[in-house]
Amino acid sequence: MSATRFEFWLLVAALTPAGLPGCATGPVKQVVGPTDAIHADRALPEAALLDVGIQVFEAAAISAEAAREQSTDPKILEAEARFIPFHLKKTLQQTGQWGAVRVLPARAEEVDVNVSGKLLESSGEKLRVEIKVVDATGRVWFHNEYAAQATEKSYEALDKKLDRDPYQDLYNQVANDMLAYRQLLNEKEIAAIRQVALLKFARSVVPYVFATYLAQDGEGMYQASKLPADNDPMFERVNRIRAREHMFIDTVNNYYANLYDDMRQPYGQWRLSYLKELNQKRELERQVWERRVLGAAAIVGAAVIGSNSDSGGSAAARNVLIIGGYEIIRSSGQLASDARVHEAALKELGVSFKGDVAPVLDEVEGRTLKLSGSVDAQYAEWRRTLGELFAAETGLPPVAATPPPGTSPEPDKNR
Amino acid sequence: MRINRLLDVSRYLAGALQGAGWRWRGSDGLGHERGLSRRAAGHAAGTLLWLAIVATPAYADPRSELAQARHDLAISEQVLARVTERTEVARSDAATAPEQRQRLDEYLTRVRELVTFNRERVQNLAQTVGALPAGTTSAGPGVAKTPMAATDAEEVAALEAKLGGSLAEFDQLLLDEARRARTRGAMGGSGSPGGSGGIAAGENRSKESGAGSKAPGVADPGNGKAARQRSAGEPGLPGGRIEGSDPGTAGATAVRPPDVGDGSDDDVIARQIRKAAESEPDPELRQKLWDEYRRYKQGTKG
Repeated sequence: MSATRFEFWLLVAALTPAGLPGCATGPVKQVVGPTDAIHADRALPEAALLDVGIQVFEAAAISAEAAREQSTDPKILEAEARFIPFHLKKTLQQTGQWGAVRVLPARAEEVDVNVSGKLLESSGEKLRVEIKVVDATGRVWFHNEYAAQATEKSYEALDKKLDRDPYQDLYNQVANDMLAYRQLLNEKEIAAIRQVALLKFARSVVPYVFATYLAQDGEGMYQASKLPADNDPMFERVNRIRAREHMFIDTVNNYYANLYDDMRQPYGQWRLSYLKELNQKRELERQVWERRVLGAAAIVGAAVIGSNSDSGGSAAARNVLIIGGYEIIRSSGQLASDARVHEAALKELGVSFKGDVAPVLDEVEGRTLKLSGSVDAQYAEWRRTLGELFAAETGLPPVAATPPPGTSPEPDKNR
Repeated sequence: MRINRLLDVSRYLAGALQGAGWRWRGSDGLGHERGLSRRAAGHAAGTLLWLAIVATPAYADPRSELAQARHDLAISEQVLARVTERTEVARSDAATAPEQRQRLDEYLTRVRELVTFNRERVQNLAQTVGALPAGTTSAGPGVAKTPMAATDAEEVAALEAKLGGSLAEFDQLLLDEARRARTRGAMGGSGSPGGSGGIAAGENRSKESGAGSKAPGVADPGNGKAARQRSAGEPGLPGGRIEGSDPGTAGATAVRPPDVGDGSDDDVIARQIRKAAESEPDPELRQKLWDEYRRYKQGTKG
């Protein structure tokens, strides 16, 4: 095994739990500390670039009541499931290590590198996400769970209107992990990923032509079994349609950009307010606990003094301790009441932020759905026309031939 | 092209029939009468004969012959429909002379015979082609031919144009949507209290435009491949596709490629694509639209 391949498998072992790509033993957990994203020090050649598609994240299933308990709301989680991928897109773009980076609506899948994620926990204090990165050939790059903590200092960028998230370290870590994996791929492997992504798209549009161009090995990994000629007219048409697919996704990304921009400031403020309220609540709860312990200790101390001495001075000290202990415990009740006010404020913050974000989210989702419907109709028409072209050019009906053994039988479902 | 020649013939045939005369009432309600001259009738008959001759060329390949026969049948059916319609109009007109009616009926009969002949020819050829070994058959059942297409090459060209038109329409839809999104983004958002979101929008977008790179020498870290396309045509332009400016006011003629001409010979679809390309501020999208325009124009020339 060459040194490079050895390093490759070492990295794979580090990035995946069982050291095997594609194994399904769950994500590797890591807590992210201060991390800078690694930026390209030069413009990468075209051949080295891989396009990245980030799926809208899956929000952890949560009931409305449970969400209220956590001072959030399913609508907020839904918005975050779009906000976080969009910020990851921006982070990846800024590294200069990738080709086009897009947030993908549900229907688009055929990209060089596909990033999917699950939002496990999100608050002003903690962000926990599960990220899985798979390339077009089916190779799992990694499947990790990332967690990061924020402090009030993390939100300073918000005041300065910097393009930096309080959890930027987490985004940087994801970008660096992706880069680490990509750097282990050689030119041939990168080219193969791009070819397979393109052929998968071609197969989804014209399955009766391109189904046999892809093959799957025993582990389900895709590879190009043959390539279309440079002047293949059907392939050229597919490329024209693929350009529209990209334009469609870019348009949807404009919607997401609007959501991101509209959401960024109030979202940041909400998270910061959440963190402040939470810190104050915790501080009060700590004080309540301390006072109760102190008060109880004073009363216990008074009882001990009373049982050991009958002198006048001892009686005075006992009385002071009893009264002091009682007062301390009584004052802790006031603090506990203040803490409950902060708890209520936390819930109110969630309701208020939901009011800000829900209309924008509904608008974005409505437009995305409407446009997706138009695109579906267009694809149906293009498929029909391509079928007629195929028949006119070959004299054969546009019916998928039975793929030979080892080639991929199923066209993708979305188109 | 051959199809155009045949269409000209059918048009001429119809014109000849009209000239062959019966009382024809135009849309302006003013009638004008033309006598049925023997010369015009002879003209029509000659044309019909020519049509019959060109309809039966010798083909070595039964599939090509079948395609041609289908095309000829389609044309002759169109001629029949047109002649039938005009004959009925003439019949319903009391001013049509009996002699004229008789000649029209004769003519109609001959066109019907031609249609019958072409139908039989198509049937025979279809049987012949059907008997060919598997893999050499023509387009399978359920594959509808494009109307008026003569040969497979012409059908392909027609379908290419149809696909190009559909893609151009789709481009327009996306451009409209992108404009709407940008306009909305430039205005800020309904969900940003106090307009803070709007300010953030502008800032973020300019950063997304490629200026956000911390790496020296990286022209546009955002969309690597796209960045190269953009920088080729638009040096100095920020790379992102969301600029916040009004797309409709972007310099149109300034970015028109030199090879696309002035568009004076554009048809409706080409005009649409051209207009969309000229008004598109995003260099990447504009480049795609110009490419589409060139392809479409190339297709229509073929």
